Amino acid sequence: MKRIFTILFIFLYSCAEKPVVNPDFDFSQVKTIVIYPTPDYRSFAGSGSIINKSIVYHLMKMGVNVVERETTPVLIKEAALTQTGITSNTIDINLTSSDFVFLCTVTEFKDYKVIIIPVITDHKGSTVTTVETVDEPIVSTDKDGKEIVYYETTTTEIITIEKGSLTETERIKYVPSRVGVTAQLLNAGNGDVLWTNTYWYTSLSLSNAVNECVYGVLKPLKKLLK
Amino acid sequence: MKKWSYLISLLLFFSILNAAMADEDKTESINNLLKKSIVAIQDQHYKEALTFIHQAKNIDSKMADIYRLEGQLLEMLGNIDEAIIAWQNCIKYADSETIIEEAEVHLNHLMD
Repeated sequence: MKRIFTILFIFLYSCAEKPVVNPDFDFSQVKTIVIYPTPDYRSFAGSGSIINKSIVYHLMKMGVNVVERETTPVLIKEAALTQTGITSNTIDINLTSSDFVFLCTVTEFKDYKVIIIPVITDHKGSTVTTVETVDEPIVSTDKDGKEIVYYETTTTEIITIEKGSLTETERIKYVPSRVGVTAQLLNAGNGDVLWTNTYWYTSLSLSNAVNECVYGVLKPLKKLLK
Repeated sequence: MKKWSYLISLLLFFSILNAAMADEDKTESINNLLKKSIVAIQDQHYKEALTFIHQAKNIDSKMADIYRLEGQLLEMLGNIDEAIIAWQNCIKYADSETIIEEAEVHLNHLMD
């Protein structure tokens, strides 16, 4: 049984989608990445920001220096206010720049749901036919007064019919949260796509689905950056 | 002889009826356990939810949906080795491509 599962896993693994990598690029030179804001998934407000924060977390865990473009306007505004004397804090604006840009698109962002599926069972019914054969002895006398016994066969048929019926029950189903992303690493200088990957994951909680999905999409990049 | 035939026919009829009723009871019991498990999941009581799933598994050990939930719960609890076995069983008993695909993604994610 174990062997079957091992073969099955190797087969499944070979079928899994792999990231696409620019073979001519040396990924060891990537030290700082600028992350652009991720647009929200359809009407799920804030989904893009949730994904972005998770990307920042995982990239920093990988040892990459990260600059979030989402926060840049806020920093510039703060600096402008300081110059006008509205705030007392002095902010020294010195934004880090990088040649590498990270873009992400949310392909799926669905919270869990519980659904009830009606199940209709059709009992087709049955007909059972029992055939019974009985040999009944019949006694008569011949001309000389001797007894003659002969048998008469009687066949009886018993038909038992069970009526068919439709039974309606329901089945409860838990559809877990599902998050999907497509990520790209670009060379800001010429716009070349250096690396791209797509991934999705399901989990009982939406936050865990986000975490595992982002971890899954970035995992191959981690190997390259090493 | 006739009496025996009637008796056999009646026995056959009741055994069919009994089997149908047992199936309905089984589905109802599993549904109740799944409902309890889902309530526990919503409250984030994953260990409690897992005990209900194990009870449901004892009633029907060939339901892919039960293994799917078991796999998800074990992942949440950090029991990766057991989660892998649950997802493998999910593939074994799955009747839809969607569930198989989901189980494949989880197996790749956990085993990589």
